[in-house]
Amino acid sequence: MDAIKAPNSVEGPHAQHGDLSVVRGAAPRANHVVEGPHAQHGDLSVVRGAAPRANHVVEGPHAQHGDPGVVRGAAPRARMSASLQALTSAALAIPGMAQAADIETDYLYSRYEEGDLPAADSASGRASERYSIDSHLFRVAGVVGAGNVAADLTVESMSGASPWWVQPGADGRPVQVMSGASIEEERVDLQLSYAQPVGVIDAVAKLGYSDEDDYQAANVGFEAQYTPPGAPYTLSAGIGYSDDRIEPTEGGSAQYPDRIRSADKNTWTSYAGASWILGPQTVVQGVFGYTRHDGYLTDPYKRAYFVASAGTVPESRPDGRQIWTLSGRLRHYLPALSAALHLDYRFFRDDWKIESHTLELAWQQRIGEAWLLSPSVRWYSQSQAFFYAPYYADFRDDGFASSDYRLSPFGAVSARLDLKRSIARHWTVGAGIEVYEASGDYAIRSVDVENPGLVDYTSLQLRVGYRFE
Amino acid sequence: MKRVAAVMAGAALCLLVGCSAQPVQPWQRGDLARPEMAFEPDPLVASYRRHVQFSKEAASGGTTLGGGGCGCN
Amino acid sequence: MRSRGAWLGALLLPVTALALDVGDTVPDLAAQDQSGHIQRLQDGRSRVLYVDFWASWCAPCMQALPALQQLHARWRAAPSATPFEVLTVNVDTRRQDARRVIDRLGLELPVIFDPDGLWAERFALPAMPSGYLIGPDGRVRHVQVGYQADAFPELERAIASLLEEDS
Repeated sequence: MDAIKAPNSVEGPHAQHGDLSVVRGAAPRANHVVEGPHAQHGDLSVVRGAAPRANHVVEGPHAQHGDPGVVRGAAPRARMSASLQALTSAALAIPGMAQAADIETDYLYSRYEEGDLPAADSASGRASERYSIDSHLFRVAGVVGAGNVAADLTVESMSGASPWWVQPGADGRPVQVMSGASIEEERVDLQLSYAQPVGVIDAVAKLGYSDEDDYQAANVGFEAQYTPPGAPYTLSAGIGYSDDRIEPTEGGSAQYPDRIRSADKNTWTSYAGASWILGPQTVVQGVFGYTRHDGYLTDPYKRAYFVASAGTVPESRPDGRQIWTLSGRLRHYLPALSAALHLDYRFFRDDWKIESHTLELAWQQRIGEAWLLSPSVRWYSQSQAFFYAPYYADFRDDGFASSDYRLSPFGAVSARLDLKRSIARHWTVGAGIEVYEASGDYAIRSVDVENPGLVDYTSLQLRVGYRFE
Repeated sequence: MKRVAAVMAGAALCLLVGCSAQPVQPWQRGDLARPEMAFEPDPLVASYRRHVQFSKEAASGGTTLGGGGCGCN
Repeated sequence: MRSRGAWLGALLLPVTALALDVGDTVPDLAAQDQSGHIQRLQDGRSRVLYVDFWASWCAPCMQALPALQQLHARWRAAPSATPFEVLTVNVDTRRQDARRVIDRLGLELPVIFDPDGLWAERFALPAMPSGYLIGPDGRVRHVQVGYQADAFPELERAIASLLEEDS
């Protein structure tokens, strides 16, 4: 009996010559499609020993190296993609959407502007301009070898005045003193990530560096995700480390003799969580996080006011901080409306005695095939750090002091609207706007004395994306 | 009391989202696979917002590793 | 507390449906394909049939379909008395999603629309995509779970040996 051969094998440029000593003399030499630069050489150790060498396509993150002994029903599960969003995907063991060998590029411009400090809250009695930031974000993501690579570059320029210290006003109510000179700063931040399946785990490695005139930070991280075969849940965990250096402008200068010259801090971050499919339209996630900061955690530019001495000294915070968070996320799809409901909650607590709640509700509305409209609202509340005060009657025994509004008790609400449109398969354009308002009134517990430096801001985003196929 | 509350919350959630004891089969995951159902559908905007919030609020982190400087004036 | 245990159990238990496996006889299912032809799994003809389940939202399925189309093109002309056929089953709930893929890929293979997952349920797919090679006797000879390009030689050897057996 003659061997049956596939009559029209395609010999691509990368086609390999098959070994002719094949199974029972009968298997065809099959050159699989060799379509792209990612074609891999096939595994030679195949079942029944005498298999042909076959070229096969490895087109994207979804093409997995099969177990050679796959034949009889006992095949491995369809492996999840090691997509860059692997750890944020609700899909759980759902093959991702990214297509083979695509390169996605995105550019986002953002204008961030803080509202003026009102005259009533200002020590000078005049309204004062605050901060504004222009940000340019570039993102490139694509397939490299068996994994996915993404690079995120941020270039920001910041300018304006920032809160310096808080002192009692004429009626004893705290008023804000702003930094005199206008600050001009640049920040460049590059974050790289590489995602690849390692055995049954989808792993992501991260590396980043951020540089400002007075601040450098280098960070590394590792994340992993695992879905047991056939299970309706996915486990994920991550650990990261950041090494930061602060060199304040004019530290120790004649003008600012009590400002430090330089200092270091480092941060360990970790999280572990699980997501469950609750139904064909519903998935939830729970994540526990632990973070530990060590080193110089003080803001070197800020000062605290003491009534006893009628003067200010540099603020001072503990040199360690431990943080615990508990986060929950819900995603629910409403097929009748072509919309998805997002609900995010985070509980935060640290050993500076700050407790915080964050609740965010978002709606993702598809309109036709091209448009995506996404309104969202966010509520945030925090209690104060144990050593915080708007200003101090006298020195504390522990020596700590900070009047930073970030450590004060407050709440904030923000509303956001995003609109995205895909054009002709390759292009995406979009815009977004967010309005944020902080106030003692929005805090979960009533705030006796509101910090005068609380911030309101508006931010506007414009973006464009292009996908190479 | 707390335990009862947790069970009630779980049951309420279940009613709300219509979850059943039936596992969701591989071929029934089309809606879950939609991009707008991702935990983070827009990583670019999400990372930008995280950075802004991180520099204006005491609380940060939770489901990500963070990293990337301060910009905190 | 027992009810809560059951609830948790339902959330944690892996899917343990009885999946159609090698050696099993395929269910006797029939449906119209996209061109209006009746496709029946046990139609009494002697043929080697590959049944592939796919969805528009499943990226590896999108990779598997063109590869299957080429596989079919290579093997349908094989000098064997037994024909080799490929049947695909789409499990999208909205038919226009499936149509878009059929147009984009220029898919010429027959497609059964199974929006309610009736076929998928009878096969008890372990994952997406899943493919089943069915011999002339109506029995499953090979199950392809997921899309692995380097698992295709296995599949082709199985096809070759089936066509051989029957010729």
